[in-house]
Amino acid sequence: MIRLLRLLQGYVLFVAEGGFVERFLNLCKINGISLWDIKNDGVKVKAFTSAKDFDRINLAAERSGMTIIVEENRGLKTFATRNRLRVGAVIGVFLAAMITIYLSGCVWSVEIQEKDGVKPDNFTQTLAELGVKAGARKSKIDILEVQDELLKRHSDLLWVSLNIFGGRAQLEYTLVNEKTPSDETLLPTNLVSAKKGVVTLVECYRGTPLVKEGQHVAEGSVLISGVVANANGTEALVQAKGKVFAKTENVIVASAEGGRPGKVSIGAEPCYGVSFFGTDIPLGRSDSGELSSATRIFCRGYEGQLPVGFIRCDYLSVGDGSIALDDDKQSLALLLECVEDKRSQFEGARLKNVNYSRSLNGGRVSVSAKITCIEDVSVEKTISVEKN
Amino acid sequence: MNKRLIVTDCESVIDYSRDAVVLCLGDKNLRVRGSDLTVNSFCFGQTDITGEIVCVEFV
Repeated sequence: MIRLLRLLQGYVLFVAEGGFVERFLNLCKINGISLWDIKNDGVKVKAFTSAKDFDRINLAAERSGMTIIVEENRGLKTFATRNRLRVGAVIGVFLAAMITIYLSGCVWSVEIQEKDGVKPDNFTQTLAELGVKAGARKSKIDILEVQDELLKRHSDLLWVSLNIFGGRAQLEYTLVNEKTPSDETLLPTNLVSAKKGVVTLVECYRGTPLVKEGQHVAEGSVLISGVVANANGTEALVQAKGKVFAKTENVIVASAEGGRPGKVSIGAEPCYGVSFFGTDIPLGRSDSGELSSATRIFCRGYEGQLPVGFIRCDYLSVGDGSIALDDDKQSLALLLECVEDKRSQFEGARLKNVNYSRSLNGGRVSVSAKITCIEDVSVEKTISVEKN
Repeated sequence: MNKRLIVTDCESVIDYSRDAVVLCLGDKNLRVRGSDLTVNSFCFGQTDITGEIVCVEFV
């Protein structure tokens, strides 16, 4: 910072010789002449001083018998004096600055996000008519007015935002979505229980709840009724909405006999090739199977092994078959199958307890799982209305 | 190794040669000996000396 200030104000590097150095320095100090980077090489003294102080240094030099020689003169004033005849350069710098200032106040590009299959060209024409185009002055663009006008002219626009970042005008928008048709029927419904259990939580959004927490419910019993009593004593039929959570017990049974279906090895197919100086050249190709082993046999010369030889690759072919399992593995496979099959049935349920059991009868393995969980047991059931 | 010495309340320079700077500090004189000594600033009562300073002593 100090260097920049000194450069702007201007400074002089001078050499003083021939007199009393100490007296010269003391006289400079007394007269308020600031010196820096003073070096004395035994013959002469070099120092820096500001351009303003240098004008007053001659008095101190005379009184101490020193001769001052200027070695270097730097600063903004010196630079301007040296280049005072270079008018063209000054004009060029000035013009460049003016052009840059002018161009920075213009829009250079208009960017419209492409969304929902709508092409930006739809809005480019409208924006150009409203004054938002390349070359337009930013100060003359009223963003709020442009946004309002865009919404008026394009009825499919739900929301629009115009922002100007530097020289780039960016338009963002959201289209009006088509309303999806409701799949609700007009028939009144009850919410009935799909399983038997003990109610733990009743969430009734619409309708009349007929059960409460702790109550046992059977399969098919009405949980939330679609019949709603009005304040004037009349009744209305509605589509009951809500959730009724109950603690249920579910039993899953699975059994199997013999082996399990799966992929088994049905044979190995050899393929041969040649290895030549590190490069393997196959002499055949196996289209099916996986590589199970590869054997290389190299030729031998008088002094040892040569980098030339033969390769044999064995490819294993697999096919559908039956895998023999012992009772434990068979039980585990049955359990895993059950879990996968019933996964969607218990989606959203909170498992409380699971008990597994296995039984062996001859060659048949049976597994059963007793699952206690808390789940939403409510399902919709249409209320049948008889017309008199 | 380059060292830096800042001396405040320096009244004047008594001797300034290539390998020594003697400063007047009122009732005492301070001699700084070394090599390649540079007086970075000499004004406003503070003297800043850098270079291969070997010895600083009151004389």
